[in-house]
Amino acid sequence: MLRYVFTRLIYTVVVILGVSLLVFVITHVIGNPVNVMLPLQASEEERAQLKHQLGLDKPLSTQLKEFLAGMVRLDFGKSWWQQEPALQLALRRVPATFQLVIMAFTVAALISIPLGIIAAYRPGSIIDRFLTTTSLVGVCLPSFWVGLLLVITFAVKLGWFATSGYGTYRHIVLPVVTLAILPAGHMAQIMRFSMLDQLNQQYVTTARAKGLDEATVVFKHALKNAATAVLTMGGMDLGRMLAGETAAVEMVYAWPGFGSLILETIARQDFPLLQASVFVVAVIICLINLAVDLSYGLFDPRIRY
Amino acid sequence: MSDRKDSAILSVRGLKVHFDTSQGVVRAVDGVDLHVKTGETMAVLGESGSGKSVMALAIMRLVPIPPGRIVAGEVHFEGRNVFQMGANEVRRLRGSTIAMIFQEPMSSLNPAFTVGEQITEAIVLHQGIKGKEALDKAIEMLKLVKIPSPEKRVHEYPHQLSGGMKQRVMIAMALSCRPKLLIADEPTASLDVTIQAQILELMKELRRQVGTTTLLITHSLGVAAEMADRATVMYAGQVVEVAPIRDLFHDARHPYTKGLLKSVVNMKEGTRRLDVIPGAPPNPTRLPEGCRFHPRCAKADKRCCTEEPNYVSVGEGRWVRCWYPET
Ligand SMILES: Nc1ncnc2c1ncn2[C@@H]1O[C@H](COP(=O)(O)OP(=O)(O)OP(=O)(O)O)[C@@H](O)[C@H]1O
Ligand SMILES: [Mg+2]
Repeated sequence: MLRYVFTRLIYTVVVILGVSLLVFVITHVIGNPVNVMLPLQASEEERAQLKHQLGLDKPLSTQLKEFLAGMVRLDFGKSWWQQEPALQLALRRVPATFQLVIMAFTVAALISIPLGIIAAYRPGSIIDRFLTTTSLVGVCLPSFWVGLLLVITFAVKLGWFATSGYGTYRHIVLPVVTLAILPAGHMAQIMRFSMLDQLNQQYVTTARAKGLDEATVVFKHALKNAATAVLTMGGMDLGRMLAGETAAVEMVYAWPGFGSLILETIARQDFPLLQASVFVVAVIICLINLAVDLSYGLFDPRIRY
Repeated sequence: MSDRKDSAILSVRGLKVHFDTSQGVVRAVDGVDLHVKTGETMAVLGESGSGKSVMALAIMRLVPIPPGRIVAGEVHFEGRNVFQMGANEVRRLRGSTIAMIFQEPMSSLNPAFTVGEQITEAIVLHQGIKGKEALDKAIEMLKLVKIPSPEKRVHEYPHQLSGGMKQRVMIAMALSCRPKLLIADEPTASLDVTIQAQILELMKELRRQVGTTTLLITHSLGVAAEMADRATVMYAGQVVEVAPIRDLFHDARHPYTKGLLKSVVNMKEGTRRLDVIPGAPPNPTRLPEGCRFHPRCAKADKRCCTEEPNYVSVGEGRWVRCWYPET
C-alpha cells in the first residue's frame, strides 16, 4: 500500500513535469507576450527592452534551465502583470473554485445517484425513461450555453439571482447548477447501468433467498459492487470539472476561481502566472486520481495495492 | 396426483410460470404438480430448459416479475399458500424455513463481502444472534461442511475460494438456520467429478445429521439414484412422470424417461448418446399441440398429436402423463 502510494507519487511528479514542459514549449514557441503588453505604436527599442526585462532574449535552453530550477523550489517567478509571486496569486484563487466544484459535485451526486438506483430497480418505468432522456440531454449541453440561458432567465428576467460575482447565495446558485449538469448526467447514467448489471447477478437472488429485505439487497449487496464504476466516473468528472468546465462557468459568472484565472493569463500571455496555475491544477487532479484509485479497495476486495 | 397430500410438507399444484420476452411468451413452467413428503429427498429430473430452476424459484417466490408471470397454480408449504402470504411473511420463510442452493457456486456469492459476513447475515436475521456469537455459528457451519481452517476462511472473500469451496459455503449458508426444506438446484453441476462426489457425500451426511427434506434438482440420473427417494421427471415445463426412484430405474413408463435411462446406459457402454432420444426439446415459445413429447416419441399416434394427456396412476405413488402408460 505505502509502496503503491510512493510509486504513484513518483508518477505524479513525472506527469506534472511533463505538463509544465509542454506548457513551457507551447508558450515560448507560439506566444508573443511583448506584443500583448505594449501598445501597438511602441517602438522597436521599447520592445527589445521589455524582452530583455522579461528575460525572453536569452536562448531558449537557458530560459528552460532557469524555469526548471525555479520550479524545483516552487518558484515560478513574479506575475508580469501583477508583480506578485505567481504561485501565491494562483493559490489565492483555489478556494473559490473548490467551493464551486465541491458544491456542484455534491449536488450532482446527491441527485443522480439515488435517481440512477431507482431507475435501475424499475427498468422501463416512467422514472427510468425520464432519467435516461434527461441525463442524455444533460451530458450533451455545453455548459457556457446553459449558463447564459440560466442567467437570462433567472437573473435578468426574474431577478432571483445575481448575474455574476462572488459572495452570497445569490451569486453561487446559478454557477453551481450550471456546473452540476454534466457530472449529474454522467453519474446518473453510469449508476443506472452498473446497478442494472449488478441486480441481474446471481448473488442478488442468493441475498433475497436468505430473507433479506429489498433495501438491504439493493443498498448493501448490489450498491457495494456498483460503486466502483460510479467512483471512476465521479473521479473523472471531478478532474474534468477542475481542468475545463469551471473555466467556462467562471467566465460566464465572473467567478474569481483559477479557471477564469487561467483564461485571463492565456489572454495576457502572463507566462509565470500561467505556469503556476497549470502546476496547481495538475497537482490537484493527480491527487484526486490517487484518492480515487486508493478508494477502490474499500469497495472491491479483489483489488490489492 | 392427490395421494397423501396431508403428509406433504410442500405441494405445488397446477403451477404455470411464463416469461414475456421479445421472442414471445416463454412457457417455462406450464402445469407442474409436485408433492414432497416430510423427510424425503425428491429428485427433479429433466433436460436443460425444462423449467426446473424456474419452478424452484417460484416455490420461494423469487421469479423476477417482470419479465416473469405466475399464470396459475398454488404452492403450499406446511399447509399454507405461499402465493397468498404477505411480503414480510415470505421473507421470514426464506432462508430460515426454506433454503436454497443455486446452480452456479461461482456467481452465487457476493464478491464484495467476506464468507463470514454472508453466512452471519441469515443467522442474525432469523435467529436473533449477533456479533461474535453469530460469527462463531458461521465458523461452526463451515466446520460442518468440512472446510479446512474455518477460523481463517470465514474472513476470506469468495475470490479466494475454489469452486468446490464456494459450493460448500453455499451449503453452510443454506443450512445455517436449520431449514425444514432445502432446495438444491444442481448443486454439483458445475464442479469437476471428484469435487462432485465429495459434495454429494457431504449432503447425504448432513441429511442424516440434520434431517432436512430435500428437493434435489438435477439432470443427472446418477445423482438422483445416489441421493433420492423419489423422482419427478419434467419435460418442456410439465411433469411427465413421478415414481419412487427404484421403480423409475427398473420400470419407467414414460417414453421420455425411458429415453433418458437408455442414454445413461449407452454412455456407460461408450456409445454415443444423441441417437437415443431423437430431436431436440421444443422451443418454449412454440410448444407442440397434444403431448409435448410427441415429435420425439417413436410410439406417438394421431391422438398424441392433438390431445394433451393427463396424469394417470400406474401403481402405488406412481403417475405418468402419457396416453399409453402401460406399454
Ligand atoms: N428471467 C427469464 N426471462 C426469460 N426467460 C427465462 C427466464 N428464466 C428462465 N427462462 C426460460 O425458462 C425456461 C426454463 O428455464 P430453467 O432455468 O427453469 O431451465 P432448467 O430446467 O433449470 O435448465 P438447466 O438444466 O439448464 O438449469 C428456459 O427456456 C429459459 O430460457
Ligand atoms: Mg436450472
